[in-house]
Amino acid sequence: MRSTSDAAFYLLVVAGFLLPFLLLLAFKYSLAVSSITGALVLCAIFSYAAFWGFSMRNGLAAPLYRRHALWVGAAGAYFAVQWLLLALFAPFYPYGGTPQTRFLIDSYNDFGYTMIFAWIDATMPLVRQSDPLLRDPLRWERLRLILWPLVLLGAVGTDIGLQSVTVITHSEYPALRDLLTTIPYPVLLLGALGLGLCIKRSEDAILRGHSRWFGLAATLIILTFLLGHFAHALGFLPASAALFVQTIDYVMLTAAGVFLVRSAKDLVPLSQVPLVAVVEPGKL
Amino acid sequence: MSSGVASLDQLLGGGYPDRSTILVVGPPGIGKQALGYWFTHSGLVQGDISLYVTRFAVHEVLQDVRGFGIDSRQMGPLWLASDSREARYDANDLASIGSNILEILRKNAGRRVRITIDTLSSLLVLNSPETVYKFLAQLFSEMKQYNAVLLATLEDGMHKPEVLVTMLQLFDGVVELRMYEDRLRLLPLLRIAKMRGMTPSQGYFHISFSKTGIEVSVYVKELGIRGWLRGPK
Repeated sequence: MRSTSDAAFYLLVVAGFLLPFLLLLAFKYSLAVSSITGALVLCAIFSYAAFWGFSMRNGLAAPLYRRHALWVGAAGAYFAVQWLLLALFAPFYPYGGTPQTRFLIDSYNDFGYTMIFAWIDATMPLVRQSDPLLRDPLRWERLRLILWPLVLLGAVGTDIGLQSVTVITHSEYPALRDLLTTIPYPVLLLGALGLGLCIKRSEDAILRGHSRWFGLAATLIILTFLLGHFAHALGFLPASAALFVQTIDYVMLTAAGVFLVRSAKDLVPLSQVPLVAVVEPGKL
Repeated sequence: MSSGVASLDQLLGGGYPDRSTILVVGPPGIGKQALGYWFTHSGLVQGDISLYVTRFAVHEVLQDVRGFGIDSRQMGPLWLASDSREARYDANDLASIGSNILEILRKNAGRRVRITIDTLSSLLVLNSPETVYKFLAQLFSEMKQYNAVLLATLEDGMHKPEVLVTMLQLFDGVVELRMYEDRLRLLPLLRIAKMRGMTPSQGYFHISFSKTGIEVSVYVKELGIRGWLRGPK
């Protein structure tokens, strides 16, 4: 616990985390109310991560670091909006709602890959700088020019491109859709691999710590995507286990939010203003 | 010798002391390099000889320079970089780095020379710290014969505390940059940890970076509810 704001944050996280369970068990509210509360708690945690990401951007001076902090903040803001949308729409449209809302929500969800890839792309030059030999893993400067269009094709092409064609021609293209939605996974994996290699070569303990927290948060978020994806696709989870899956999801996402806050705050070591600065302010 | 930042010059009583070695220490990204860029730029404007020692390629440094609002066309110092024509930088060859710097000093004896080094952290990682201490001590003692000021930047967080302490001892002046958390606000603060010819001060100053330059201003923290509402000045 490094500061009073950290202490207050962790207390609020614990209280917020327990709130949906209290509403469900102690006050006998419906599952929908608890789900909305849970989504709002997640929205608050991720908003706090976004706040620190953007604050870091404002506080830092070096352009590369500012760009990196911007993407950390953007990732927090993205997920905060996602949980807010979930709180607003999911209870009323449990199966995706109308095709229009489904289209909007799918498009927004697919943009998440772009967000994580943008973070990887912004982190790579920073980590490279802290390698004393300035090595460029996987020739990233060139590789990124190939990977960016692939990520955008997977994220944007699937929804805006393919769904528009589907609407116009009134035909379904499930095989093509599966192909397009799968593209970002190997690209992200390749990016994560390159970043891992780069981090291993880095001598900057602060940046390594920051990347570790962000990596944990991203892994947990991707795991919840995969958990939901495979559970429904394979149908191995009975309907009665839905609450269990939701609870696991909630625990993982809360932890991911906390890790993202940690990551944003660990971008630069923060000190507390010493009291001497209060009693003897600088004179110019 | 002017630091290139008017408000910092005022704080230092006119600039960095003549024939001194200055260390700027702080975490990555906080703006240490910007102090080096403005120091070099100021030298070029005033007609001093400026040498920039870097492990990066010249175009990478110039790209970074533009990010701080400095016109890179005006940034034409002598380079000791990985791809420079005058002299090549090799982090594993401390002797050649030292001899290249001294050669430039000898050639320009009688003129004011500014040397900016952004490679200290990588030198400390690639060589044993003792080797780097010896190299710096020898370089500094030879430099004293010339009218030169050297400014080096050091990354906080890449070295053991004992290495950092020794480095602070080696230099004539130490400018410390830190990011402080004040309630829910972030403040980059500057402190003159030591400076030859100045009485040690515990004062903290707010440092801000913009496209027009660097501004160092008085930092006063207000306590209590009023401080919470108003924020730091």
